[in-house]
Amino acid sequence: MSTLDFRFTKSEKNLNSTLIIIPMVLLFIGIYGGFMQTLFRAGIVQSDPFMGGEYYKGLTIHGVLNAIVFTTFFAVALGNAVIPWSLKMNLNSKVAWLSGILMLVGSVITALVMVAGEATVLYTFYPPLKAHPLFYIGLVLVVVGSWVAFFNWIPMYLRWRKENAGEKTPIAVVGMFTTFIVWFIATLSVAVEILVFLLPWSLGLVDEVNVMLARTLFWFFGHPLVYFWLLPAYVMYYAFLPKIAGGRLYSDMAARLVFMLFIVFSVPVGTHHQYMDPAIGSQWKFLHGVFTFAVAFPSLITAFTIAASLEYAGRKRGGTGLFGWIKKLPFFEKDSWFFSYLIAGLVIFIFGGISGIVNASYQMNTVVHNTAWIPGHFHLTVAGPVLLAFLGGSMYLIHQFMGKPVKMKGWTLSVPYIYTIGVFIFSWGMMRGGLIGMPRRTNTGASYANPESMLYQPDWMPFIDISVIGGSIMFLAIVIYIVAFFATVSARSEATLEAVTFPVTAPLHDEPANWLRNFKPYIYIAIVLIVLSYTPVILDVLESTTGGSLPYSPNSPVPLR
Amino acid sequence: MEKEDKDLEGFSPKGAVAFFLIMITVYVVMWFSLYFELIGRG
Amino acid sequence: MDKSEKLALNVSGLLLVVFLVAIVYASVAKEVDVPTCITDMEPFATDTLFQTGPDSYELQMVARMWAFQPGNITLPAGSTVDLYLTSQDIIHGFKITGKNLNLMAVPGAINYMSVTFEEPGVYDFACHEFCGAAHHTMAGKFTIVEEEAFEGETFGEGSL
Repeated sequence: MSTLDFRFTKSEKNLNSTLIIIPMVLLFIGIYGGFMQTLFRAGIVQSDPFMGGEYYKGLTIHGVLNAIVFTTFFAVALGNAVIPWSLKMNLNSKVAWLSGILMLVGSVITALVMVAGEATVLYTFYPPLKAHPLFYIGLVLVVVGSWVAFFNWIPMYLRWRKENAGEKTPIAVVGMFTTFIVWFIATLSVAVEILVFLLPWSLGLVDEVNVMLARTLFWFFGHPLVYFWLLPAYVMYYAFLPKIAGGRLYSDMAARLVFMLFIVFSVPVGTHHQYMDPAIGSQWKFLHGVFTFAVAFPSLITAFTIAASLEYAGRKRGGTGLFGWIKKLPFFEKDSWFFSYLIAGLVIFIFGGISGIVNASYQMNTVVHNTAWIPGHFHLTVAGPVLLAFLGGSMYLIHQFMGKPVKMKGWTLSVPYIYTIGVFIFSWGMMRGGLIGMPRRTNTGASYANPESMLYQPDWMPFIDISVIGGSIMFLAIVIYIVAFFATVSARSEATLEAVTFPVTAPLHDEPANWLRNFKPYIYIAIVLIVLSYTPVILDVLESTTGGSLPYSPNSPVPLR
Repeated sequence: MEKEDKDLEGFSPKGAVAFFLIMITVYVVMWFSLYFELIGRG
Repeated sequence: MDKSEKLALNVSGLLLVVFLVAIVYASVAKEVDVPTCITDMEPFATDTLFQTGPDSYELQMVARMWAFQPGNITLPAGSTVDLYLTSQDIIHGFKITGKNLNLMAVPGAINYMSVTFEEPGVYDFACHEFCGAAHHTMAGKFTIVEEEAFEGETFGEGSL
């Protein structure tokens, strides 16, 4: 595959660098908050110099900046990178910058409102806790900005299809479009929640909001959101990892099947976050559970396909025996530093996957719902494979778009391994604590973990302390990364500036897979499943709830008006 | 590292199959340990 | 698709089917289920506890910032409690440690689950959904006493 005839413009390079560097600063603020939360929870600190003593404000900042802002920026930057490169077509620069500016302005507004303490509502912003209207407006701008980026790619894709009739769409493009198709469908729901209900209510234009309805609209968005996080990582696993490892993607058809299944099953699953909610019939909760199992299927296939691709690479490198090929993979080769970010994430995801299946398993959710098990679980998914792939990807994109040599390669390569040790310890503590009843989203340091409190729970202490150890190691790894990242950003440009390139190679098995070449039928099936699965849920909510709720501040049990 | 364009002859992912079956076994054990916790709580 | 891929596909499908069958079994045979839609109950704003049979009670619980009402319930061993839960302000969460009872308390809706306490002991519950500045102090407990030592069900304010 020759890419010599395609070059990114200066404007595209600058935009993509901006979309990586600014969110990296926000990510670090959020991660600092996360580290402080482990200390708060254990009662080690009651206040910190930057964020003060408000645990829940810090938790809101941690969730919003890390899970929504950083992830959305990276997904857009990756799309802005691999779609033009794969299709050999430049972006419409004006539209791309418009998208970037909308997202940047939105993020800054949201961040400032949170830091000012005007939006201590956590990243789920459930009413009737009310945030400042600018919090919702900032989030809307981030989402609209990401839509603009997506709309910028659609005509490129359609033109490419026309000019290359009969050719397979490159897998990275399929993956990025899958990501944003899922994102677009999901964000329609949260747009309705915010624009129709929360924003007018926050502004005082309407008095009351139906809390169950808002909550249901949130989770229509909230679960596909996790695939929006995961899918760009899958793009890197399928498109980049085989080549970085020194092999080939085992099966092109499996990759295409996986992406199409994500389009079909990502959305009609949200009610599995509401298993313990009132006002939704248990039969519909079960239906969403079945669909959630269906969306687990493509991830299981991914585990096999990636393992087979790595085995191919390991054997090419001279590995023998049933597992000898593993030892030959480039875990510690400085020039293949990107490998460590992808492989460590995959190992973490083995456990993120099964804990997620547990959460989705209908009445088994009773054991874990809203306990510390849940943050234990999702630090093995979004803060595991997703974070590591995005950090590796960010470093790679900066290296390519700014033409900078990757600095501190040895340290850069070690970050994922240090982080993996940390996150396993952290999540083990959280999950075990959750099983004996420790709640999530709770400043235990001020009550349950305080020996002087009447509520003291000595049984929880070992697990809280374990999460401090794990959290500290995770934070250390990220500090190393941030130093290496900014050392790279501020390094002198490479003498010979080569064209931007991505580690992509042809698959080993390349079947025609004609039935997997068009998004349309899968989007239609997805719409049918969404209508079937959500109509009864929404009807139940509307029929069995009474009255609306006035807005509340987190600081007072008396409504704000 | 061998040259990239030279494919392995008759490659079959035996190790990946073995890995996958081990992973599924681990999944079954982990899932059912939670399942019996649930049943036991009553 | 080659043989190994088909194997992976089939094993994945089988795994999920086995899990689903186990879930249905727990629901049908063991009657461990999730809360469902309650439509035959009038909204309530105050808490009550009353006996409905030899070993059964109905408890209507109200969650508010930052207490459960009642926060302290004493019952004899062997009691089955039909627990109705609502919120009078914002969203709260309610989970009894060591029992299969985990409910969201949402304003404008009534949640329901039944629970049986066979063994005497103290069963704590703590609010598990962020509900404002003092969320981490919102807790309570069931005290289950031996049937012989039982002197009438009580319920009251306070978390301890």
